[in-house]
Amino acid sequence: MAEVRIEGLTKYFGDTCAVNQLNLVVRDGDLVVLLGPSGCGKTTTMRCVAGLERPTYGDIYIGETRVNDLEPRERDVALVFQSYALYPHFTAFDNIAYPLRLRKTPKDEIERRVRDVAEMLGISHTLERPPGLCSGGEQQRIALGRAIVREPVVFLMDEPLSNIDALLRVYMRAEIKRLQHELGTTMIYVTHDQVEGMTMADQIAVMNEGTLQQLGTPSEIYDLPANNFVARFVGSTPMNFIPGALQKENGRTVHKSDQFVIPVSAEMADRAAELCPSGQCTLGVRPEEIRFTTDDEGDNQARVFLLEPLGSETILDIEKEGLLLKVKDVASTQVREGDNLSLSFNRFHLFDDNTGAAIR
Amino acid sequence: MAQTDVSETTTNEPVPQDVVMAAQGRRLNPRKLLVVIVLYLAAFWTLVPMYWVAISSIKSLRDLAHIPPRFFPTDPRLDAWVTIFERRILENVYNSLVVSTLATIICLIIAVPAAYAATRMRLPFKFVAIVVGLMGLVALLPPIASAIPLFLLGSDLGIIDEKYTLIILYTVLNTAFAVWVLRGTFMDVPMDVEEAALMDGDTRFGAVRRILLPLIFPSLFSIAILLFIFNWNEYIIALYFVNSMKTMTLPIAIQAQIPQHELDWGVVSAAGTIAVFPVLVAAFTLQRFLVRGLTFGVASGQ
Repeated sequence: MAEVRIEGLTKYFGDTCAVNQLNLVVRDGDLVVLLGPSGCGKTTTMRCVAGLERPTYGDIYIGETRVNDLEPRERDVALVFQSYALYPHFTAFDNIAYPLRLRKTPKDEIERRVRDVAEMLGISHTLERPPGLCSGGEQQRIALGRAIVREPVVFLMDEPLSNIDALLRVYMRAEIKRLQHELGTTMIYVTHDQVEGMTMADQIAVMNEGTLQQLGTPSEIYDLPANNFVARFVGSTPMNFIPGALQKENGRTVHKSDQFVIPVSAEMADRAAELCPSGQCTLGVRPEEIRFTTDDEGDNQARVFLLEPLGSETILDIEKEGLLLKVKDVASTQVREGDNLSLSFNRFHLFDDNTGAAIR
Repeated sequence: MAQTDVSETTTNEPVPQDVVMAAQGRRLNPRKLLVVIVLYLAAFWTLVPMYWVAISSIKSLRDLAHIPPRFFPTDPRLDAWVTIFERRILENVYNSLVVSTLATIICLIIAVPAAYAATRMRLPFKFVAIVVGLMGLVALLPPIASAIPLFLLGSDLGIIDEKYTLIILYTVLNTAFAVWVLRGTFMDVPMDVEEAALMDGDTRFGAVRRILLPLIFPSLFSIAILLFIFNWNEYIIALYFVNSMKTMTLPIAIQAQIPQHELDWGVVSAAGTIAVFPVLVAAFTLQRFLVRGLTFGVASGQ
C-alpha cells in the first residue's frame, strides 16, 4: 500500500514530447484512471511509474521512495498489459506462480496462494492449461491473478479490458473495481474509454497531448469540465457546442450565436467579463440539460430531423441553420421527426475561444 | 487460429481440429494433383544426385564406366568403402564434427546477445541500421574474397593448420548471418511478454533466459542446424587453412581422394556419401522444427 507521487514528469522520445510537466498524486488506496485519446501520454506515464521507461525529467515517488533509478523488480508494482502478455509456454498455474517463484517463496505457500487467487477470480479450472487454450476472459483473469498473487504496493493496468467483448467488459470492470476495493491497493488504470473511467475511478486524470487537463472525481469531471477538451471527451453522448459571443441585451448578458440567444446568469457574466474580456466564447451544454417544449412559439426554435431510440431514452437530433444538437429525451415524449421544438438551456458551460478554458 | 497453434507447440494434447479437417478433406482435385506432381519432380531433381553418389560408391569399375549410365549396379561391391576407411576418413569426420559443432555453439553465444541488443535495447536507430547493414554485407561477401587476406593474416600469426583457427574463422564468418536471422526471430516475440517478466520481478537476463529463449527455441534450433550445415560444408577457407590430416575436414578430404592420375570415382562417392549423411539427418530434424518456428509467431502474438 502506498501513495504514488509524480512530480514534473516529462518524457521525450527523440524530439517527440510524450508527457509534458505532469504532476499527479495518487492517494494511497485510490483507483485513479488516466483517461485520454490514444497518443496522449497516459501509457507512457504509467510505464514510467512501472520502470519500463525512464523519465527525461521529473521524479516519481512510490511511498516515500524516489524510484527513478530503481529497476522494475525493485519497485514492487504489478502491471497488467493490454495484450495480457502471458507466458505461452507455461500453464496458467505457472503463469500466476512465476512472480512468487522469483521471490523464492516456499513451494507449499506458492501452491496455496495461486489456488486462492484462482478461486477468487473463478479460474481454478484453467490452472493446468496453457493460456492459449483459455478464452479471452480467462486469459484476462490469469493476467490479473499474476498481478494480484504477489500483493504489490501498486497495481498498474494498461487498457486491460480493450481486448475482450463488450458484455464481458461491463462485467470485468465491476470485477476489477471490487477487487481493488477488497485489496485496498493503490491502482493506476489507463484507458481511452471514458465509460470505464467514469464507472471505475475514484479520481480521473484526463490527459491530452502529454499534459494533464484535469484531475477530479468522475462527477467533477462530468459536471465541471476544466476546458473544452475535457468537456468534449467525457460523456457518452457528447456535449453540444454552440460558438458565439457574449453580448448585452436589454441590460442582461446573453450568449448570442447565429442560431440561438441564450440568457447568461449575472454571476457568470461577471466572471466572463473578468476572464474573457473579448466575449468570444463557445457555449457547451450536455444533451440532458436541454429542455424542450413542442410549442411553436418561443425564442429558440429548432427542427427535429432524426430520432435515435435507445430504449430507456431517445436521442433527438436537432438542426438549426447548420448547427446540430443532440438532446436527450428521458421522458419519452411523443416527438416525431420534423417537429419544431422550443429549446431552453438549463445548465451550461462557457469556454473561452482563445484558451479553451472553462469560464467559472 | 492462434489457440490451436499454441496447443500444437506447447502441449501434446489432441490434434487440433483444423489439422483433422485438412486430413479428411484431402481429395485430389486437378490443382492439388498439379502441385503434387511438381513437388515430386522437385524431390526427384534434388534426390537423384544423392542417389547417384550413393550407388556410385558400390558400383564396380565396369558399371561406373558404362555408357549409357546404369541406374542400378549390376555387380555391387564394397571396395571403395574399405579403401576410404583405410584412408582414415573417420578422422576427417571427427575433425568436421568438432569444428562445425564448436563453431556453431560459439557463433550462437555471440549472436544471441548481439541480436537481442539490436532489437531490444532501443539503441539509436541509425547506429543499429549501420551495424546490421554492415553485418549483412559481410554475410553476402563471397568467402573467396576474404580467404586470401585471412590466409595471409593467419600465416603471419602462425596459426595455419590448427583446428581452433577454423573454429574462429567459421564463427566470425557466420555471426553476421546468425545475428540477421535471430533479429527477425526476436522481433516476432512481443516486447510485452518480456516486460511482464521484468514487472513480475525478474532481471533482464532472467527474462531472456526463462521467457524469451524458451519461446524462440524452435527458431534457435533451426538456426543452429543451418549454421552447422554451413560449417560442415565449408570448403574455400578450409582449403587455405588445412595442411595436414590433423585438421583436415571432410570437404577437403573428399577432394584429396582425387589424385593426379586414375581417378577412383567409387572412393570419392563413398566419401561424398559419408559427408551427406549428417546433413540429411539435420535436414529431417530441421524440417520438423522449421514448421514450428514459423507458426510460433502466430501463437505468441495476441
